[in-house]
Amino acid sequence: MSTAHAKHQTGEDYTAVLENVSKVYKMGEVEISALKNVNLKIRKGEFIAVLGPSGSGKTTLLNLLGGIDIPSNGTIKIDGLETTNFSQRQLTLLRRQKIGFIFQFFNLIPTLTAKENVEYALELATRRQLPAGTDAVSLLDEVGLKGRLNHFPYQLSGGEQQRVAVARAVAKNPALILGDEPTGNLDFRTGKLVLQTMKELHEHQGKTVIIVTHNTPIAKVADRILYLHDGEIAKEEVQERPTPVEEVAW
Amino acid sequence: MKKLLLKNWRDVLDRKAQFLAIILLVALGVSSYVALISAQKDLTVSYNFAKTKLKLADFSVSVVGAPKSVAKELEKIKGVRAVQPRLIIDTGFQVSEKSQATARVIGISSKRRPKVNDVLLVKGKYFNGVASAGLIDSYYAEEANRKVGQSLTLLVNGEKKKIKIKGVVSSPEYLFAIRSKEEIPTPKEFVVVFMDQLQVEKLFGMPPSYNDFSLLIDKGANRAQVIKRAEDKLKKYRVITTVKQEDQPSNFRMKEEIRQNEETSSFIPTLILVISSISIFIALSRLVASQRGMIGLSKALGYSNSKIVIHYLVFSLFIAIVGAAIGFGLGQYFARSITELYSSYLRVPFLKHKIYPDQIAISGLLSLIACVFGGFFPAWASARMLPAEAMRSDPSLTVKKAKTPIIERILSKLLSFPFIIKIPLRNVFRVKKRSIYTIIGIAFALILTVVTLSSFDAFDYLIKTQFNKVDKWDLQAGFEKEFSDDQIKKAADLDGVKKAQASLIIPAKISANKVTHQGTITAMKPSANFHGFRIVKGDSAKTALEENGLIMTPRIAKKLKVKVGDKVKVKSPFNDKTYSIKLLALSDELLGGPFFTSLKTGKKLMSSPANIYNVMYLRVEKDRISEVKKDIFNMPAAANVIDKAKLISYIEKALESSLVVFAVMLAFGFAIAFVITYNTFTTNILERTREIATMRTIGEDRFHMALAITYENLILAAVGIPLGIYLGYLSANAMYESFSNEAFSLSAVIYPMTYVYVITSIIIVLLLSEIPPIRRVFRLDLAEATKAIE
Repeated sequence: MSTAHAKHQTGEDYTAVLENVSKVYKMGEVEISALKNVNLKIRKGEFIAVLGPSGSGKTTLLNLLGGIDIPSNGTIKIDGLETTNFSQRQLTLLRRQKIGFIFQFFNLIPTLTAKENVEYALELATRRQLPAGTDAVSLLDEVGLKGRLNHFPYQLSGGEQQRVAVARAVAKNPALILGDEPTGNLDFRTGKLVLQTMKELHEHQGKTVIIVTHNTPIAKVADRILYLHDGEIAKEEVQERPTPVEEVAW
Repeated sequence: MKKLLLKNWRDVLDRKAQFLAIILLVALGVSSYVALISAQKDLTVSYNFAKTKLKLADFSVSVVGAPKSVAKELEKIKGVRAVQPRLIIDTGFQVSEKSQATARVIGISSKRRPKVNDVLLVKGKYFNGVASAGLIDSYYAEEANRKVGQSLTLLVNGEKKKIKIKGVVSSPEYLFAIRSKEEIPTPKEFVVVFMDQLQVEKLFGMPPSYNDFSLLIDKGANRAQVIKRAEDKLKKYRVITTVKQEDQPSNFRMKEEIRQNEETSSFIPTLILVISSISIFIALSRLVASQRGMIGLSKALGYSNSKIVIHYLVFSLFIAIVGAAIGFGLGQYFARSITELYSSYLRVPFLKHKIYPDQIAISGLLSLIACVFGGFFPAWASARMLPAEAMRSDPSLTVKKAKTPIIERILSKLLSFPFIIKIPLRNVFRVKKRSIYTIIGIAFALILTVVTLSSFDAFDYLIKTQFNKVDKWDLQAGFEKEFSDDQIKKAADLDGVKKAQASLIIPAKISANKVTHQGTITAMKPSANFHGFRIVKGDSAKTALEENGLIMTPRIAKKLKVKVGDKVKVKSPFNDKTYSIKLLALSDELLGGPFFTSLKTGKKLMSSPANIYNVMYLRVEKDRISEVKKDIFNMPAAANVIDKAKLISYIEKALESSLVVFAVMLAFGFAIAFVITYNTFTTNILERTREIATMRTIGEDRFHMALAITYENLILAAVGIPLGIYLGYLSANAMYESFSNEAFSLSAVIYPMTYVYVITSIIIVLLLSEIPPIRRVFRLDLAEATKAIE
């Protein structure tokens, strides 16, 4: 990435900085403002939950942070790099090296085993053949799946698949982990298990995590909650004492 | 139902490229069917019309010489409709100042048109007894650009005789301008001249006589009986040969051409329509899978199973109707072009082109069957869905099954696969049906390309083998009268002649196991080496000839149901005795006469105590060929001289004229390969949208995504190509086997470079076909696609 210059321009304490970010979608002749002049600074090691009703702009915000969409206006800096004017190739590299994604529908590669799904992310990050005894095993061990290493996604439960997805997201040691409704498709028990895993990664490894949810109790586990409404951050709530995962009920 | 039809239309528009590709494939299938079958029918109808209109003889009997009165005798035979006596003499003519070739002079009445084997006047006038005037055949006139009013110089016993061209005619006997079934047409080297009978007698200094009687027989008459009676009546004038219509050289070759075209004309359309059917199956299966939610909803709203089935079958009907309509239009256009191409190549007069209503019905029906068959199973699957289950829109429920293929398990012990290979490899095995379809499609495309390209190799092999290894001469000269050893010596002494040898070609009936073959036997000295045999069974050619045995081709041996060691009966018109000769060897002859024996046996068959010959084979210094040719034509009774180099160039030219047909076949092959892989990979990508979007989202770059698609393509090609080449080889073999006849044999020879061309071009087509699907991957909206329901 040839943007080392940009890195000096932002403070090292922030994983992501959004300044006056807007996103307008065109649907036929109608323009829809998904985000309106959003200003946001995300500190390193923060656990943020984005709450809001459908159509409030939660996913758009996550997409812009993850480099799978570009803003109509404003600037975005990720891990010190201004990504606003990145080319497709630079965005690919950004996603590959800096962002870990956790999807609502797990989105594992169906033809790869649990271990291979994690290794694939590792290989992408380094773009070379992985040495024997790679970290994938220990990563899956951390999420409690050591016994399911060679299982294909269709052989895993939803919770197990999402835990593999979590291991895949953190495998490349990203600056930012983004979860779009990571528990949205799981039952209460497995959802909690996944949430617990994410929380532990955040606490033990100091990862910056942003999750999008429409579920207030889940948002309560975060350090900070952003309430989005009609494309704007309507309210921010810093939680001095986030709710422990085991106490969360929904 | 109107709403569902509207949805049909919108779905078509939504996937227009995929529908267009399948419609194109169906249109190709239908158009090739219509074009080839219509052209075939046109050709058959035109040729049959020409045969009837110009009264092609039902059989002809050639004799040494008979008076005209015999014709009256023949007319009296029950079942004979008409008889035409003629005098036919082969001689030389001046092509240019330095070049000579063969003329067949046919004496007919100048006062009235022939009752049998009539001619169609193309240009000029029919002659009316004018001395030194004649009609020439249109084949030669066109090729040599000879016009009415010009003259033609015949070489008669060393003297030049000028003949004025009064007209140009088309003769049913010489649409293929050849004298024997085995001969290769050499358009500028052979002219047929029709002259007044009396003029011919005068020109050649012959007494009034006829050596050819052509007969038409009544409908329903017993031909075998009529032939027998005619032969009996002509017996005293020494019957040389009786040629039935099916063995008449031009008719034989024309029928062979029609038969061969008939065989190929159903092959290509069948192949394409099968592929179309599978394409529809794959595309509609995908459509049904992606619309399962909508299907569930439709059923929940009260649409019956039959309406849903019909809804999806409408796609098949749409493809069938549009494909058939386009295909029929294109087919008619191509049919006319192909018919014109055929008729210009085969010189069929009275070209007839018409639309065959049964073709419209059959092509429509074929297209409908192929499309409905392909669409029925996906449509049926849509109706079997339970509404509640179909409406569950949770993408996580659609996690596909996968496993590590055996090949990867084995190979991974030796080498480690990067993910960029592992993922495509497993995909190939994950969706087996689609992979098999693609492999079959690639193989089918290969069959067409291999068969097409192999024809170049087969002909090249034929030319190289026949003219380098078999025919070890530069000039071959045929004589109207037999000659002795002295004449060979004279020829050997000609300036520029390196070697002169000769053979005796005898008309004969060869029979065994109640099967009779009428043809010629080449009798030669065991020491002669102008002909290189390709012995496949039995003694060496030298031993077989030394032992006065018979050598024949395996094809004829099969026809006569004989094997090496068996005896066959040989009867020549020049000897009343029937000889029993042992078959001592089988020789794989690509071109030319299928029987060989020793000169000693030949002499017996000709009832000649002395060595006699009628064909000469000369090895000549390259720069002296035209002079030697001229010298040979000056020899008494010289009838024809074949220049091997010119013969090769004629064959090569004829092959060049077939390039258009080959190009069309190749285009079909490549179009099939393109449409199939385009269709497969588009479906593949539609089916894996979420997976591909996920890969892109977590950081896979465009290049590696394209590479993964390419690898998947190449893995399928790695199976499809060898399979296609093998099947292509088998098809080529079957095709050449069907093309081969007793006068002509083609082998399925495919050169290594052809494999390289075929493989390279198919891979290029496959790579081109994946461009649109790859572009689709590049344009994916990752945010949307990572949540897609597949």
